[in-house]
Amino acid sequence: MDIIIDNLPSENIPTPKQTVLTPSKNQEGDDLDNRLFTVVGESVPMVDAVEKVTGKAKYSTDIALPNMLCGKVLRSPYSHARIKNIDTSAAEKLPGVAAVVTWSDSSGIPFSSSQYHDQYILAKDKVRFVGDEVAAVAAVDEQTAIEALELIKVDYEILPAVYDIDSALAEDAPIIHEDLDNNVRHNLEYERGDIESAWKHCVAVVEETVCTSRQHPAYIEPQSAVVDIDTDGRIEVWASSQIPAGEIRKKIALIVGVPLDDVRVHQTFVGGAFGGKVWQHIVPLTALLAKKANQAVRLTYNRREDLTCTPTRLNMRMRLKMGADAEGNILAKETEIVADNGAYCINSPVVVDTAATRIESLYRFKNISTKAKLVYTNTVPTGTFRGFGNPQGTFMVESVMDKLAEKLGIDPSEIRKINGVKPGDVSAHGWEIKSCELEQCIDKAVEASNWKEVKRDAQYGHGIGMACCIHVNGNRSVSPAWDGANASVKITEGGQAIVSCADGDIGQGASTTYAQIVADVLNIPLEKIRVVRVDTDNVGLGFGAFASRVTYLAGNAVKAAALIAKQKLFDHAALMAGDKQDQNMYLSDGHVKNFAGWSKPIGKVAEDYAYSHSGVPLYGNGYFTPPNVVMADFKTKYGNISSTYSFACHVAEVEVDLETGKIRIDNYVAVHDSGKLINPMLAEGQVVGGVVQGVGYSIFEDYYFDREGVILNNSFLDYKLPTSVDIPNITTIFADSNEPTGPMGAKGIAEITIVPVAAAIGNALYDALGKRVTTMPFTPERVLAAIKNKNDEVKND
Amino acid sequence: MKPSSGKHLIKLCINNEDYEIEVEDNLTLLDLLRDRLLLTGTKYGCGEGECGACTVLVDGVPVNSCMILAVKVDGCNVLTVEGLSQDGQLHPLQRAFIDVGALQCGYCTPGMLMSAYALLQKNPNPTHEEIKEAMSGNLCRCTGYQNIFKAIEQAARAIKKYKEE
Repeated sequence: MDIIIDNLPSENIPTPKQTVLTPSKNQEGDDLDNRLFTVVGESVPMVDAVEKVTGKAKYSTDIALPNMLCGKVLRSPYSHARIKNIDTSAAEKLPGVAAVVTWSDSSGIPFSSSQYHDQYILAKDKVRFVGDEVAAVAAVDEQTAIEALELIKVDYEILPAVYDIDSALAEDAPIIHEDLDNNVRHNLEYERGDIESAWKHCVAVVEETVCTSRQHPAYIEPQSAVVDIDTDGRIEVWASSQIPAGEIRKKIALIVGVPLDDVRVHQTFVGGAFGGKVWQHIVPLTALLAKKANQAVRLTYNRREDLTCTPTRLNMRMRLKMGADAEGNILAKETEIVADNGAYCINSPVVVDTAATRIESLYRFKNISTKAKLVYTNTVPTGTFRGFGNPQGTFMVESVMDKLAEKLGIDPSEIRKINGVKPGDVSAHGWEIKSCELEQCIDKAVEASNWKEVKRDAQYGHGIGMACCIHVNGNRSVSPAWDGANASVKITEGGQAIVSCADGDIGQGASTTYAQIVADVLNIPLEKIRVVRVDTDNVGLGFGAFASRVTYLAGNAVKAAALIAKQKLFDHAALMAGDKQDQNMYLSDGHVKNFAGWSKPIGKVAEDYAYSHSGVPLYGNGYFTPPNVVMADFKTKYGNISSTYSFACHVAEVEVDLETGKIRIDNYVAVHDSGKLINPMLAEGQVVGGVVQGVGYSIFEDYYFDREGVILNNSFLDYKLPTSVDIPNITTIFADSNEPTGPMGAKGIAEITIVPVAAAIGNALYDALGKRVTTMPFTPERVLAAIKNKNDEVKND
Repeated sequence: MKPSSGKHLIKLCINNEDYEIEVEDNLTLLDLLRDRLLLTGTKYGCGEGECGACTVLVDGVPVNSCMILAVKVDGCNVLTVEGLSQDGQLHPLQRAFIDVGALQCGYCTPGMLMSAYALLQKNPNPTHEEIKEAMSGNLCRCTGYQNIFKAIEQAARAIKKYKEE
């Protein structure tokens, strides 16, 4: 009777028949990794591209339900104030208003994505930044909703506020979260090796303090959610979430105060996310409105609202001192980081930890002393954004690396090769380096950028700079309970493969990756494969798309599922053929065949399978648990958090207008080690897109606040994103690489593309001017100040 | 959003279909398309004419539909992304965007396509610099634009070849 259980979708089964892929060998001794792929490795278009170019793709902003209400949020006009009273009675009486919610309508439980639960869905007794959510309404139309907001009376007692880390750390600073004695929420402190004695062996020691900027993910689809309540009172959500089957469901249940089983999430098309749609405040808030109204509600933030109140990248001040011996071996590294958290934690404690630790596994650091602290300010909260702290840490280390190279008279490319980790290394944090083509990345970047010639011939105002980086492929530390991914592949009577994975596509092309993997395993054309969007009633658990975890973890899970489906096809075909030896079956032209000449279309085998199992379809349910990973130690951060790591080396060549301080990036070379590529065109798209986001981060993007803590640039007119006329000529190169534990040899690519950009441009700027611009973004004002400094120095000499 | 002071009957042609609709005088063309006619291919991105996600053609001219009132397009011809492909055939621009990977999340794509369409109507053989300039009102946060330029160049060649045959 176990047959019936065995073939249900993955969520329902406790079956022992699922398969774990081990690094060395797939089940059945499949030689998939060694054969010539037909679809994997090809630059096929995205499988959902037609929907996107015809306007048929439905994003969260496009979902419309009958009798859907319009939601609106009342936000704090003050950066720091106590709420003495909220009176919603007039708003509730306004005709057309279906629901008004405040903190007391929620479960009242504070939450966070970190260990510090410091936020409520709506302000309880205090607001902590301009834009903080105070109340929300659902009404028949937008106009009525806006009128209702105006009728809500909030009695505020205005408190003194702080908008930068120094003011927040001052002794007499106002306390933002009163469970603390000061504004420091999180401290990280650890040492490796023996740094005190290491300094004594250094012949060169350099030090620098750098400041990074605030950057908003600025996805073009603003935050939006639609929530309906079904007849059983269940909450049904449509959201462009990065974590539809992960944390967002739990947070909705927690905040609304319902069992987890009462929340169903549909992942819509995602109109850009970049980390900004991991935590989405808007989703549980919409659920709260819908629950109270007992009716469907759509809430969409307008762009100003989105830029004002949704999380940005953390700005940090980072001091780094590094010393090396005469050969350029780095002996000691001392770091101090102070990070601006904004008003609430969300994920930022982990982001600070990442800024401090990640790049320490790029080089063979042995003696390390690191201190980091996360400080509250009365500004918009910070959180996850492509790179997750790594762009900040990389900017710091790679800036100082060039300074050290200069002092030692070693070429920047050489010092990185001398110190870079190599396959087989275990880093200072216990990270096990498997495939690693860092050296190849550097060599290829040097060659493609004409590094030596440009360096030799450069005039004042023209420069070239390099930066390297490392990034994870998933992070074991996301949850103590488990790590990995799962997928199912269903074969239909028509011979289609329906692929379902809880780690859904967020616009980066995950569906295409999955389809290509299945196409190769089953030897069927892409047209025969459908990757369904996530509906939590019908998929397994899944953390979602972040930490560059999709290709490696979910890709392996999809591969495992397809291999199981294939084995079932073979087993059943053997029964149909009356042949007990399943080993001699193979897949070709959409048929299951054996060498005796027996042949049936895949769909016919699947149909016969279903008939002989009372209609249960032919499913392959597979999963992948990353090997060799552990939870990093909570205090010291020691532990191998990812099965394998991706690497990159970027080179920027810049021309500075010495009159205006404007930077022009002439050429940009990005070389990546991402293992074997599943889809070179999509991989290249990730690189170019990431580099351009990095150009924005380096040159344009930052937040500006007035004295009252009001954001001055909360529109796309004032918050400048790179446009078509701002981008450099980007050359993308991939290192010859293979990750044996990756799906078809692949590693992740998404986040790492933005990580080294600011450092590469910063180093090029130094090369051009002989003066370092240490504060991001490198605006004309800052560049001109550096030029003036240099000129003054020359005069004084 | 300002309160409406009344309703108007407008006649317009959208994607070759005639419409007679009663609209409030504060209704934008974007909201008319998306909320009334459920033509959600045209996207809301910023509502202030800065991102280009809502670009449509009004009498052949690309406009940010969030910045124009529905009453203003009375008697006009409107083309949206839904009207680009005809008889089930993708427009060469759509084909090229797909083939060269000129999209990722796809949210800016409809607006990009409409701006590119307007460009090629006016200038069938644009230079690289002319393409960059013409697309500078459309923000994309995913692709870094490089493949969008490539797609427009490829589509221009395809259209030229088609016309020559």
